[in-house]
Amino acid sequence: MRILLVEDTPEIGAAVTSRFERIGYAVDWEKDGRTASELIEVQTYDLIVLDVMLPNMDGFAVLKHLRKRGLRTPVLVLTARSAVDDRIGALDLGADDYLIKPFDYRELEARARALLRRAAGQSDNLLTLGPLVIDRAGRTASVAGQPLDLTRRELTVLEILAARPGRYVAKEELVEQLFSFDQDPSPNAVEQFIARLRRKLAATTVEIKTERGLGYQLHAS
Amino acid sequence: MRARLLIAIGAILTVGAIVLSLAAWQYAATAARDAYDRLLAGGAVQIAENIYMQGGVVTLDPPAAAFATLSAYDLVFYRVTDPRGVVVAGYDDLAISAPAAALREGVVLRDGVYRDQPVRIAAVARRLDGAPGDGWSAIVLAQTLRARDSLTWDLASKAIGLIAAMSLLALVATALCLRLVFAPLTRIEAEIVRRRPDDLSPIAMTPPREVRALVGAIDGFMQRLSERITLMQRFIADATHQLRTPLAAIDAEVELLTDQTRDPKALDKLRGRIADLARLASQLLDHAMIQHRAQAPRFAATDINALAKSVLSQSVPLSLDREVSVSFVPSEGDTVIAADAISLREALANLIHNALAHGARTRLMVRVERAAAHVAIVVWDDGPGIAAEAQQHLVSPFQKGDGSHGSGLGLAIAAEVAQAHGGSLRFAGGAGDFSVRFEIPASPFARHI
Repeated sequence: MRILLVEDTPEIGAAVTSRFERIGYAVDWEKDGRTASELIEVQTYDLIVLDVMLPNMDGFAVLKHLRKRGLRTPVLVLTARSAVDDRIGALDLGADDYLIKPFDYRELEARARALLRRAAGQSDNLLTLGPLVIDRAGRTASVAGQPLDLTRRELTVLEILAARPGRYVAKEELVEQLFSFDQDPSPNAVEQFIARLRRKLAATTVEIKTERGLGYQLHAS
Repeated sequence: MRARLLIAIGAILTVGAIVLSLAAWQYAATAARDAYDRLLAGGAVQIAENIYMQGGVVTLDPPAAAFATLSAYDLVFYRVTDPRGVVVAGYDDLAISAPAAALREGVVLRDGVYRDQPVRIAAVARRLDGAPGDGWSAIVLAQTLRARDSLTWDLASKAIGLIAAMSLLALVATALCLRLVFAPLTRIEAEIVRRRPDDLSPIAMTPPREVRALVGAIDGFMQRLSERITLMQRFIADATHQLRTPLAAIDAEVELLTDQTRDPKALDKLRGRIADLARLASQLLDHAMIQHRAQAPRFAATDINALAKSVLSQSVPLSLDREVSVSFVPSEGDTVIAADAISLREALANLIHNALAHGARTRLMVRVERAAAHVAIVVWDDGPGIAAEAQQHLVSPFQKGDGSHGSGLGLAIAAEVAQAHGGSLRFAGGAGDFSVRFEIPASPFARHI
């Protein structure tokens, strides 16, 4: 995964870079708005993390320029301005998500993962498998119109499985997606999530199958 | 001011009219007296001329014409006494309080009362040759006041009528005049009253020369006020930004320290405090902004289902340590109402944050309910809830519950937003089944769409 970080505050830039590199992403860190905008034209990224207040060209202008060129790269906006209109403005301009500074780095990691998952799958925000519908932007799921009562991690598991219908997903991949690098990743916890999900899906026609050595598969009839 | 002026001028006109009326009455009374006195005196003289001596006795030949004139509206009484004091004609008891000598000089006129009626009395003396004694006979003639009074009343009422008409005209003219003078001020007033509180643009009307300076001063003041408000808002926004930027840098340093420390718990604590401080900074800004927006709500068509869902998805962290089941129950049917989406988002985000921070053990639910007259967003959790006695208290700014790390502004912001929309914030249930109900009316604002 290649990520472009556009951030002019040295400490934040270093912290974000360090966090992403530790989970194995390649990070290009750019401090200037205009240079970043030029860089996007020649280099393809999987995710752009964009600060709003930047020298030479602000984050909104970079974003506008990017979307005008038809690039659909997911963009996560970081802002310290909290004039509430700014946040709405960022989403309107085509940002996929935003975080307000100072932000929790685990949250940044989780949101980046969610955006990368989304970009890898279908481009729209709805993920459908039989009667199961997952609204990725709204972070809700339902089966045959009945809302499912899920925790954030349960929803993530379901989303990862639903994005690959018919294919097996390894337990290790789920571990990686569910926990940030500073949390204790435990395969047992994944088993617990799967068990809870199965309980919540018991009354529906959606079921999670386990294949020893291969992982989990989501099946809907 | 206009009414005060009108009352003052009206009072002056009334006092003037009363004084003038009294004077008119006085003049009318004098004029009537003079006119009738002349007639009465003439009557007395005529009687005096009609007495003569007959066989050594003073005799009267009553002058019919004179009596007829005098008694047209009044009763007339007379008395003729010969020089010895013997009444030769008329009423014995008619008398005048004047010395006999005065009568010899000419006609004497006096006011008096005769037979319980106020009368005017004229008296004169005449010397007859051959009369007994000193030869002076006295003639007294009295007339009631009816004709005089009626003439006085007639003259006075006409004059008073004229005075009243003139006063009334003067008052109407004054009112018209005041209206004309104050018209531009009234128009300015109406224009300012009609305005929204955030409209500080110059007054649109072209003022007459006399009030141009005033309008200029008002416009100037509003412009300065507008600049101040803009400056204040920019200041609050900048201050928040300025506060957040170093906080974010400190937070980044903490993040960079994470893998070098042997005590990650201490770092977590530090991180938590930084997050609290950042939250306080943004809530202060939100609070100020919401109070500002409440004065001039910018309502637009807002889909409450969509808004609640989007706020919920943003407000529940993906990296939440506890496993909390989150569900969203939209309302069936149309939930588009007129509302201020920005302040609504903040209110709901605060309620969800509170539910996650202080409530929700395992479940959090946001439900939208649509009734005929209102839309409600219910934030439900299975946490400990808020004790009934603390509920009212927590809605005030800077009041926080036990064990809260927050600013104590969250519920205050939500309550203020509800109020600005003409709605309310209510609590229901207790431990394990607690909900905060944010309810705003749907129909009264429909006209704003």
